Amino acid sequence: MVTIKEVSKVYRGQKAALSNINAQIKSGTLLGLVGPNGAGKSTLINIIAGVLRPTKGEVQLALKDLASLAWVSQSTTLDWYLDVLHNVRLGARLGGVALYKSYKIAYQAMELMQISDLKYTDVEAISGGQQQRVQIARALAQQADLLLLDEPTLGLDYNGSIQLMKHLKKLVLQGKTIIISSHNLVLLEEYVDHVWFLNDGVLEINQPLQQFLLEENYQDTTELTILYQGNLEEQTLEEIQNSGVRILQQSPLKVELTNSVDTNTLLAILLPKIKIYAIKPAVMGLEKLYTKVQ
Amino acid sequence: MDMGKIVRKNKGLGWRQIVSLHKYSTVVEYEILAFWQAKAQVFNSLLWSPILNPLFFGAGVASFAPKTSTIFGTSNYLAFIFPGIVGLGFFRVCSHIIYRLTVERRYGLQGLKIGAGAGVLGYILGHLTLPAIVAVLQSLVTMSVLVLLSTPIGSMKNILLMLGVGIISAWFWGVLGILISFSFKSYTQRDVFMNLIMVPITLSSPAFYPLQNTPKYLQMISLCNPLTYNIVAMREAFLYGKLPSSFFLTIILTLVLLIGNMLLISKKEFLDSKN
Repeated sequence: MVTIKEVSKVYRGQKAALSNINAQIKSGTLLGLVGPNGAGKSTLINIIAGVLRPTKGEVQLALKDLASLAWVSQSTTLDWYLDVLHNVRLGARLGGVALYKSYKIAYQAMELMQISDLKYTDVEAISGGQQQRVQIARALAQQADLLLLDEPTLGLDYNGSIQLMKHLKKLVLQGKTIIISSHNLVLLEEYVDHVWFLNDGVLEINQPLQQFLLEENYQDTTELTILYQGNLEEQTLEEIQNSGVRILQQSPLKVELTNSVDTNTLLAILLPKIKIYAIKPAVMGLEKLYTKVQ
Repeated sequence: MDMGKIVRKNKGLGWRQIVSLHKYSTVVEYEILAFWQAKAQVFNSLLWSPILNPLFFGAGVASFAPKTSTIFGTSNYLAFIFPGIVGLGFFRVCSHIIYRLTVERRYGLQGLKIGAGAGVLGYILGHLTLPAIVAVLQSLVTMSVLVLLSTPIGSMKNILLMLGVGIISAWFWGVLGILISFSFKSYTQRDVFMNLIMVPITLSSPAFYPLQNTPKYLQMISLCNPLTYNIVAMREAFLYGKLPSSFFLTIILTLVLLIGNMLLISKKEFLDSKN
């Protein structure tokens, strides 16, 4: 669906925003584009969207036409002269939907983004989060095969973010391809299939999420927090320590696993003695990316 | 689904998208919506100015100068200023184009529309269409007022010729406005420019007086003003049913500016800075 070949971007008078990016995305992928501020995420999305041009290299898109690509910019891209309904409906019209049908599609998109009650309100009179919803609704109304969403959860509340991600996942299952950049790593980790990690304009990681999590989480030490019911006796704690696990805290139990000990060993000791409710890694998989670059 | 290959490279848009009229109707539709949302602007453009100009200013001056001498002969003052009022209406609509285009560029809507496949020619013509329609409607309102004031209006052929000249004049100013709007980095720049430019262009044009009777300095300034040629052409079309040869230069300039705009839009990036 998307092939990026040796793409570089240099803004006038600045260092390279992107350096020799090579990557490919298959159809039906929900791709999470992550990286610190200024890493080049927006630049890459804008180049794929065609609103910026690469200084070198090219991006190839396997799409039936340009209208099959919808883009949500990180900055607010709305028609300030118009109300919510017509801003959302623009997506449908750009997507090639007939005038009379575009209203129905716009209503559906507004319903999904929970902005139906604002349909006749001017976009300048609504909050930043609501404006963000309008932009996303417009992109959804375009019914594109490739969606480029630059920080779409910025300004959205928790429920709005979850609902959006669930809907995006549904679209991906229908064969759509979605590239989403976000700093909400916990959310991305739950929904994306593939991850690109950009750092200082360089694509450092390009992997399926599952593979990345396995490699990252079990290569070095892993910190776990275990919520349990029951008493942890001295003898049990000693047994845990003797197995090579470092105990950081007793209640809730916080331990550090090393390469030589896996979770199964720990559970074999704990399960006969306490009732375990939850096991939570202290650092989520994608968050490790950030600890790496700091 | 039939998949094509779209390539994003360092060079600008392909010529097919540059000359395409694709999405023209959507661009027009959204310009109409934006215009309609601003109800006060609609009222002012379609009713207030076209009625007040002839009713107050025109009738007032006509009361002490009922006849106006031009190099072509003498005519009724209200009939004389009718093409002038209409010409100013066609000129003023370019400010609407500049306002809309600046907003569209600043907020990435131009990139959104052309990025979604709108042809560059379709995009530009889409922005030029509504102002021309509005100016024609303004002209009809003004004409109705003049008829009520017993002004001799002349033949329908002359009126249509004048409106045709007016539309081309509006497009000339429109494409010039689009070109100028590229250089605006902020609304302040745009507003300062509009305030500085609109008034002298309007006042130095022979909309309300014949040029040959004015002081020399005003004639010199007026002859450097493209609006002068628009109004003179509209007046000749309305009063005498013919076009001065200078108007063909306006047509050529309009085409050159249109092509220039198409190439500029196709070459420029749609976002100005690291977004």
